[in-house]
Amino acid sequence: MAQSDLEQFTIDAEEAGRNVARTMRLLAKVQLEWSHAHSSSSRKGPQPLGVIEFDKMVTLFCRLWNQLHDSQMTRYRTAFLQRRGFHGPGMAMKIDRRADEKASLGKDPLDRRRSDFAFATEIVEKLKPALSDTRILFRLDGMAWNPKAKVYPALERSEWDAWISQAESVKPEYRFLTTSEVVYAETISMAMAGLSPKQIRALGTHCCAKDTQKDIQYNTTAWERSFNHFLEGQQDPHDDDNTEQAAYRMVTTSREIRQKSYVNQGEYETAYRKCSQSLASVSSGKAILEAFKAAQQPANLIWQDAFIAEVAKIAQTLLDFSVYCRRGFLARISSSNLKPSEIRESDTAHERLVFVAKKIGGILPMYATIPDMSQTNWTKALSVASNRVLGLLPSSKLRHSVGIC
Amino acid sequence: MNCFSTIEKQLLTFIEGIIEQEHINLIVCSERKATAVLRALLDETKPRLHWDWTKTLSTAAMSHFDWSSFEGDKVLLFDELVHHGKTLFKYEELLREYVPDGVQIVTAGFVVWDRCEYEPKYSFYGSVDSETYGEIREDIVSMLQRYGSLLLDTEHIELSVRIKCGVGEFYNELARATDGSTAFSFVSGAGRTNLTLEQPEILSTELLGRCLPPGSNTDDVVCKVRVLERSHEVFSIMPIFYPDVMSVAPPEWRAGLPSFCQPYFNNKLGKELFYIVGLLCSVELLRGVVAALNDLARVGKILVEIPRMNFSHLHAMFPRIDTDELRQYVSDVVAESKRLKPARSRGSVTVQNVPTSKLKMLSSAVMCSLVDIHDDAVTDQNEPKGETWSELIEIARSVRQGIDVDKNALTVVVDRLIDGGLIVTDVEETTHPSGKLCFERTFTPEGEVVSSKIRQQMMVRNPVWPKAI
Repeated sequence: MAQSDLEQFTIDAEEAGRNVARTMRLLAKVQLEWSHAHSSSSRKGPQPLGVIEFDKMVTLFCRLWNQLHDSQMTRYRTAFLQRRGFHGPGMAMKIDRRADEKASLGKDPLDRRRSDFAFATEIVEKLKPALSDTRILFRLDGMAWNPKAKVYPALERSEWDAWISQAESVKPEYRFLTTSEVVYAETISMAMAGLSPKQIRALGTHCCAKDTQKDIQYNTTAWERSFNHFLEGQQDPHDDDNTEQAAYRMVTTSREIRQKSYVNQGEYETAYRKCSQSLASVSSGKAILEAFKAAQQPANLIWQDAFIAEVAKIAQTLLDFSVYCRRGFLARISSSNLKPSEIRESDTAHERLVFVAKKIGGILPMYATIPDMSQTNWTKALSVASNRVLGLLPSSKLRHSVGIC
Repeated sequence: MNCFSTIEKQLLTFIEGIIEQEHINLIVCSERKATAVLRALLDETKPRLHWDWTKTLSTAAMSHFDWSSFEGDKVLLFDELVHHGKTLFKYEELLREYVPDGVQIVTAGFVVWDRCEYEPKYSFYGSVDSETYGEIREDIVSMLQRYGSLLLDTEHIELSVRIKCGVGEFYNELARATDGSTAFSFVSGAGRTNLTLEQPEILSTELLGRCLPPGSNTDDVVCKVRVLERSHEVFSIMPIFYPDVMSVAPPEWRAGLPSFCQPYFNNKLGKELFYIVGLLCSVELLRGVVAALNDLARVGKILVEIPRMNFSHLHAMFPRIDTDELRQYVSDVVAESKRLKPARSRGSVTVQNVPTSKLKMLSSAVMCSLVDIHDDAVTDQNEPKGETWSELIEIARSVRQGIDVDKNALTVVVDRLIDGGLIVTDVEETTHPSGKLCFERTFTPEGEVVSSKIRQQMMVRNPVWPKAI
């Protein structure tokens, strides 16, 4: 691995190099097995994972591997540290970004990179030019920050075979994997190969109630920030672009809150059951099953949590309100930046607000009337509705109880 | 003995010393392994042996070397391993028939067994017991594998591909040169990843037909493309195609061949006809392979190279061929193929992996069978004959019972055995059903050291491999 690329991540390039290299090899194996299990007769060739699912796959694997390490069953932890991001937890490395790169952060509303660390997909992207002493193990078909980009496995099975057979002739301390670690890696890969992308995402995103609370709180705080930008933007006719971005972020953030607070629960339950069954079905899986259960709480323990349950009740309303705000704002500036599916979604959102969340929906004007409304009336409607929306968010008491504010 | 890291230094010192002391004019390498050793020293090691491929010959090519043009008085016959000394003696006698009067033959064996009956003039390890002999042999094979100079690649053309994508993507694209069921990846010597495309598609049967003398047979013969890892970024593509050929080369057929082949037809042809046809046919396999890689090449993910270095060593095997002219011929074929479309669409075919564990089991079983057959032939007082490709595959099929592996994947078992120096190839003259003589590729266990090791294994593993013996 090229020194310069690693130095971007850490000052201890040599040690990190070895650990990054072997972590990447393990992850390449996991993704290869997943891809193989999900290829069909009609679609041969490597099946990709979306960048979010890829990050979650990495998170889940690292969580299990590190748990095994904590139980002294593997010799090393993975090279990455868990960090919270927009989509929940992800495995990351500290990063020393160049000035031009720093300046580029967040220019695109889809870009959710952090300035001080890089998540797994970005690590893949950054290590890509390091061809001199390492193999390309993943292929990324777009920018790492673009949720539409996909990660393809680039590992060839014989490479894995070569790595584990070479290990026999290498000194134990320099070995990529010991015999038992090979079994762990292959067993985890097999268990994860049985999961759908949504299930990988659910298991990677959630592991316990406490962390899920914090992740949701991270998103609600971000939503409030975006909403404040949005409200401020209503007063500034020269700031349409930023206001539109804020509206966009309100929608994506509230979607994320809804996802975490209840949508993921079903996928999580299924994924939890599948993984447990897969690990229990092989003799080599017993130890991993214990690690799995230590690392991942059952679904009921996560979603029966009072804070998460309270958020779940208002998540759809929050999304509907966000969708309404975006459509309303675009109507006021006569923009046609909505896709047909987004228009349909906003129609439904308004209906739901009117008929379900009556206190909010009742004061929000129809889309057709918004362009002709006076600035004062439009801002007033939003302010009243927003007070009611913010009132629905979990109480400050609950927020303190999870240790966020 | 664990002289893995120093074996090349010892070989270098040994050969350099003899060249200097004896003022050698030509080195004749005993069979393929000695040629491969020299190739490692000439092309791979640092420091390299200062010698020229034009002054190097394989024993397989002694008969068609232009001895009349040889200017010098000393020829070194080099064998890396001298066991009983029979091979050395045989080649020395044969060489004596070819060299002009007054030319002295100096013999050298890097390792000589302590019970050798015909000793070379020079040796590095002069008298070693069986155990040490076996260990140094392993070291030499490991050295060749470590440099990627596998034992087979002393008589084949070779393209280099610099990859800037994952190996999986590269291999899957290459699989587009097959019907989708015959692309196999595996790990060969020194933990290197390999791909074998068995029976790849021939994009132009007409052009292939021009390479074949009348009466040739292309069914059930060696026809594959091997892709070998040279370094992290560089892979070699090596087409191998050996049709059975009649021993007659009609003038009208010869006239249609490329000019670089013509010098061969000044003399009466024997086995060399087989090799020439094999060389020409193998080039035809490249068309499909290069076409399969076109999509990757177009987006800059790979770069196909045809370096001179990949051709120079062919002089040892084809001394009458101008290797630069051959290289130009191959370059033209590659350039033409860059305009062709691959036989299969992307994503319609994939590579199948043959796991090392299965490969080891199959290799062991095949070797047991081969040694057993070979021993039977010796016991019956018959001249031990090698197995043809179809016979070898049949043996592999018969021993694969209970091992879940694709029947087409058996080709890589043979590849692995050749790479490991466990079986060697030859060309044998047989009688065609028409009564005419023809040449075909054969395979035999590598020698007494390998055979006795396998016999020991058979005694231990007998219950596991019931039909192996």
